[in-house]
Amino acid sequence: MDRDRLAYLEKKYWEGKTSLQEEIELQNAVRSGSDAVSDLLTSIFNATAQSREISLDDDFDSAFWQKANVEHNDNRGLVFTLSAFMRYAAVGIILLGIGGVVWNLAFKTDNKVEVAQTEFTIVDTYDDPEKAFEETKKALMYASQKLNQGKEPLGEIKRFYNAKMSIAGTPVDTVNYAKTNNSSK
Amino acid sequence: MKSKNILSTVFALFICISILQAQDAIDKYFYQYTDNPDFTSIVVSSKMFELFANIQSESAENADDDDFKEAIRGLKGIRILSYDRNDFPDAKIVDYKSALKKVGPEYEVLMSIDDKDEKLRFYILENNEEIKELFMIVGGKGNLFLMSLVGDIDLARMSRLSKKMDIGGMNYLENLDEEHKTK
Repeated sequence: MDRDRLAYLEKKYWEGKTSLQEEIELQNAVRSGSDAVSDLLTSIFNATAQSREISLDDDFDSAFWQKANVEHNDNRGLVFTLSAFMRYAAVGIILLGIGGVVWNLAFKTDNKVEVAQTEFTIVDTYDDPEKAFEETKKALMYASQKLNQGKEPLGEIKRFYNAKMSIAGTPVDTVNYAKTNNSSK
Repeated sequence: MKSKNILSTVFALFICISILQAQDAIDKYFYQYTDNPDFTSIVVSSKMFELFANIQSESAENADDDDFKEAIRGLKGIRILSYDRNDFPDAKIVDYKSALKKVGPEYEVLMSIDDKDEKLRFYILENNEEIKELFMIVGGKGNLFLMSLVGDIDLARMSRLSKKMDIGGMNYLENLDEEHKTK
């Protein structure tokens, strides 16, 4: 190739004005060992050509991913923020709650079986309604008696209150007896 | 915001669980001792209460029965569990205390009497300001008495029962039907 043309092209190259075709011409001249091209340009073209030949093989990929996984595992213990903890804690609590509900339902089912069995033998403690009636009467009388027993001290307070109001000349009103008297609706 | 929702859900879940467990407390106590031969267990079901209406008052002695029927109108069941062992005077005070502990927070104390011979608690369970259950625990020297009364309960009417009828210092624990002690 014409030495002058090569010198001209090289000059153009350094000025960044060469076309693709002209650059190929220069590369071909370098490849053919022409001494018209400067050493600097020759080394650049050679390096570019070599770099194009380098490719990533499977070993590189496997080595990369192995290293990446190791680093990921190393960092896992360190990146544990409060929000992450809260998330895990919330999930744990929800699971515990669900477990509790399931356990409770299962327990209740057992209870129901027990109740059902007990009802079978115990609910009809009395086959005879009259006997059951008498027993109910006795039980309610007992409860009634105890209710009144609890109200006796309140009666004393009421009498005291009434006496006090009478002395003070205020019309005697009733004293609230808490729920025992309020419940009559 | 998201964590707030989660916390609210978890909180609600726990409340539900605790209420469910509390509601079972009295049942658990009843059925824990139902098969114990030392305990007398009596259950009158709602079906039996319906049959009470058919019982005819024939004699003058039973004339008060009509008043009683009126008083128990609305009741749906009674469960009684009692223990009476005078030979172990202090044996069952533990059960009285454990019975108290099993009463859930939804039960409200209506009345409490503590004297040297006897401890008494009345609890009520309300729904829409109406009493749906009256639970009574009596603990004395060597005895324990639990009664759960379910239905629409009118305390004033119940209170009048023993005033209307002469019960002559009846001690219910001594008069429990021996035939129906749990075998």
